[in-house]
Amino acid sequence: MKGNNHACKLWRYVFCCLVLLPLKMWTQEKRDTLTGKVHSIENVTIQGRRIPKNITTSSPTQLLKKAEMERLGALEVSDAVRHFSGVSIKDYGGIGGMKTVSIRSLGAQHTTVSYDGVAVSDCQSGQVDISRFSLDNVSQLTMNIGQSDNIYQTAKMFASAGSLSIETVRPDFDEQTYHLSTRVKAGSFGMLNPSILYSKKLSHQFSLSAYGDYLRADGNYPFEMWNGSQLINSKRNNSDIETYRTELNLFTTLNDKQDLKAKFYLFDSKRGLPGSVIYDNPYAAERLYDRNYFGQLKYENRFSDRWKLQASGKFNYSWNRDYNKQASGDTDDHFRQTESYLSATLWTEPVRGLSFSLAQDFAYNDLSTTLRECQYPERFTLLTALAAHYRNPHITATASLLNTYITENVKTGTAADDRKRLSPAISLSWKPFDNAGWRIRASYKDIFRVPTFNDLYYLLIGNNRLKPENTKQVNIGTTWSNAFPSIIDYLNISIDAYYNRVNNKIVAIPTMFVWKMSNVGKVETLGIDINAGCEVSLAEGYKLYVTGTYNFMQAEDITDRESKIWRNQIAYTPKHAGSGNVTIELPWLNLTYNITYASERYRMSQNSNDNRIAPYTDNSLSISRMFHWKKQSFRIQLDALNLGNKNYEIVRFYPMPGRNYKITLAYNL
Amino acid sequence: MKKNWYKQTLMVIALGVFTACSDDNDNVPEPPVNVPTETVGAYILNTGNYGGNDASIQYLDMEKGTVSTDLYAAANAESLGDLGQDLCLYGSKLYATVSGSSKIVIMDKNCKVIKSIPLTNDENQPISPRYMTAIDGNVYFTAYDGTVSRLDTLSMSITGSVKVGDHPEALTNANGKLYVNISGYGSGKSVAVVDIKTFTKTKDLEVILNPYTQCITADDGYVYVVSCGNYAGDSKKPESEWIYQSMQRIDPKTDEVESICPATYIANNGDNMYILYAEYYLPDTHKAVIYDLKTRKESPFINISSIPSPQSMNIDPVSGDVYISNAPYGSTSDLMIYDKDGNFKKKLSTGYFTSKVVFITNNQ
Repeated sequence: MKGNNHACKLWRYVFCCLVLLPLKMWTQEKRDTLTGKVHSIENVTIQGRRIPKNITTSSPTQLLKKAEMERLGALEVSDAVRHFSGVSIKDYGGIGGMKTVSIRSLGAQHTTVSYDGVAVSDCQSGQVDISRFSLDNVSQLTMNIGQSDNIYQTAKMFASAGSLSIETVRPDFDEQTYHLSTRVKAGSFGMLNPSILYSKKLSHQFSLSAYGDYLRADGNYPFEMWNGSQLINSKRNNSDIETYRTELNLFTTLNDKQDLKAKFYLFDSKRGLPGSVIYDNPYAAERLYDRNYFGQLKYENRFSDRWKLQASGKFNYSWNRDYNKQASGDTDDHFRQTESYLSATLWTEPVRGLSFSLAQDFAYNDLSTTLRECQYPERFTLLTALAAHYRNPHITATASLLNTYITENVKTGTAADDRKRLSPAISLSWKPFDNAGWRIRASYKDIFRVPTFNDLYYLLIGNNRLKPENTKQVNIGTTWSNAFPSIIDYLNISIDAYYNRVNNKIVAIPTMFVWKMSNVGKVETLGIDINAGCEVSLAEGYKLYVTGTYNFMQAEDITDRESKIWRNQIAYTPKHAGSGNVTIELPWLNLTYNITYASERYRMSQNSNDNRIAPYTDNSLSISRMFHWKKQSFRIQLDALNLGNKNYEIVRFYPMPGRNYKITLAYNL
Repeated sequence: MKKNWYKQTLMVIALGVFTACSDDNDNVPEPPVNVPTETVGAYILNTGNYGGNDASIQYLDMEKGTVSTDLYAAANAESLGDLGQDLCLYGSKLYATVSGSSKIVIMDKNCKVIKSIPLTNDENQPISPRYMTAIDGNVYFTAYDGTVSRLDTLSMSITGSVKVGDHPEALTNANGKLYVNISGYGSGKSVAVVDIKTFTKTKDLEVILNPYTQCITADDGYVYVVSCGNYAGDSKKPESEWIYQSMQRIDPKTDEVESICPATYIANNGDNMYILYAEYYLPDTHKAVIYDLKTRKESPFINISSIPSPQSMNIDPVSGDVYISNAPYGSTSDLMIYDKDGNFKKKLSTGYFTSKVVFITNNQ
């Protein structure tokens, strides 16, 4: 209890600091990053910035800010996401290899990825490759499992089992009217990645920021793999990549209540697809060309303390081309999809602590391909979310109901039936004692993913009779955070146990000659996620950060009691996984060590020895140093990745690069 | 356990006299030297998963009714490779076309590799070998570069190849000619005829759209080819454009083609053609029948719903038992064994996507 009283005092102190001395705090932050402004006001709790937000939420929420990501040595979005608990990344290896995020074994198609509040869509494959986003202009990553407590968002954010929200840097012009941030990353296997971010305050009303980066890599890393007792000692080939990214943001303050923000995003890449390692056949010539352009507009009106409205619109154009040279003749397929998206959310807080929101989304998606018998599907989606949120110092509660209506058309053949569904979610967090930073939380969410255009219409295997894949998530957890002045600045632990149930899982099943997408799978998952973190001040200027996660996940196929896979762990799902980070901040140097671990996995549903993928650990070390000169800062970071130098596989026959190095030079003004 | 099947296969080698490529042979011009009276075992080819490097060959011990682990891995301490497409027992050796790994592997009867030949074209692109047939000391195989190649079984080298058409698939030999299904990756509608002596393509016979994995020479000396059509029942096309899966008969003397009946998989034993029929989009069409090639009448065989995703059908030449493999969702295949009248005998668990059973008889 004594410790708690101290903690309480400390919080009060921090709270005062936060309110009364904001400038001091911002300055401190700014040393790490020019634009690390904390602009989330709504959910800032009295604990202030020292206590992570995830502690007070009623469903598991994890958050990384730019400074923390830099401290962790994260260079890519996927590096940062690896530190989240209950989340796994499917990584096909290398810089050009696809990386997707799956929450608690549900699969990447159940994860919404949003970019500055607007969901990124891919209605063809249903999953988002997070390797296409740069981390250089990202200010914050938020991972929500289940329904977020933030009810002031688009309806789309209510429509998935979990979400990864990517927030880009919003420039802060309190001290100067422009900022410049440049960065060059270079690394093994021909990797080079320069980037520039420039922001400028044009007038009292207008400001803009522009970001651009270029990435290239040969990616032809050596690997070793065993084929029985024969050692394959080779190099990945056809794994080069070249990418251009540009982003332009225009911020308009219409008056002190209204803002308008426009964003234009251009992405262009070409890469080789090395494919899986095929015994005795190293040939790979498949080329993938991607273009993705989108523009989005976000408007907000804070009518009063009690009412506010946000509206956004987006037009997205994606094009890709898949070209392959083969002995049987060359193939050249083109795919094009667009999304037109509109969303509005009205928020009100009639009574202090009790708020409601109503969100309405409309989306139009279409796909055209040069594949044989393309059906040119188009989809109209209407999402309506009604949510309520209550919070007082002891209780946080959120409830929401989402209504989905989807209708589709095709030019030839038969479109899928209309889909109508109501999806509820509810969550509660309770703090039993005033003085203890201890909370208990429970949540439930019932949601689904709609079949993708590939699932429904792809060549022969598509099946327009597919039903949505349903998920039910139950989570019970506890969070605790405390501080022990003069020893530990803060310590937090969260433990969540969960039960997931997937029904009507969409899988490809073999029929005579042809595979067919079908709703046959049922999966039951029992899991535990543990997160812990602490921050210790060793002496003035000497700090130690330690974080760790452990995940237990028993995800079993319960489709058919008579089958060979009954109660087998589903593919690519480790029973045990974890990550750890130790960072030492010294006045002249930062040292970071990261480790991730995953136990054995199976590449197929059948848990036979032939399908087993060995456990792995990945260790990396990062050293960085920051130099300051007046308003300028210069940062150098050296990374040694995969120190164990083992070509472990996350996806079978896609070996990961062995030990490799990166150097990052950053200059901020 | 392992030693037992080894002994069995060694015995088989000692007995080896005459063999032909699996079940699609023994045609008129070559009367059998001696008639088999017992089937001692069978090789089971498992194609494996696409990109999974898990093709395998298992041995089925007839007496014990047991299936061995992967013979190839046991004999060579490595995997057969990616996508084992076809297996052929000819003379004293086994031949396997491995499509993903793009090689043809010559093995002894214990599956120990004698020679493995990588198959690429002039531009070093893998040509993905497909199906085989063997005659007169040569093994002929199709490949996705549009060719049929000739492998001399004595010198164990490729002595020639001939262009036959786009995406050639199954092939057989009859009356001194090779008959090759030209699938055109779904758009082909011909069977190429290659004269074996001159090893040149002489003509294309027009057949129904998409002749694919079934092309056999039956005991009556005729060549039977199955075309997959255009997946009848597809809602993208009007019913008038549906082309059903059909079995056609080619007379190797005249090269005349005759359409016989609907079929997806066929296997021959004497006058009987065992037929599995399942249109992808039309579940009501699914059936399994015995078609009498002489009387042209069909009689019921088994209930096809017991095999939702058949991958192959082969017949034990001695007992007439019918072996049908089934690939259930997410797991390894089952080999279902029925007697010649369709009575269920046994179910064996095999590898991923069992695509062929090659029987070893006591006259071999």
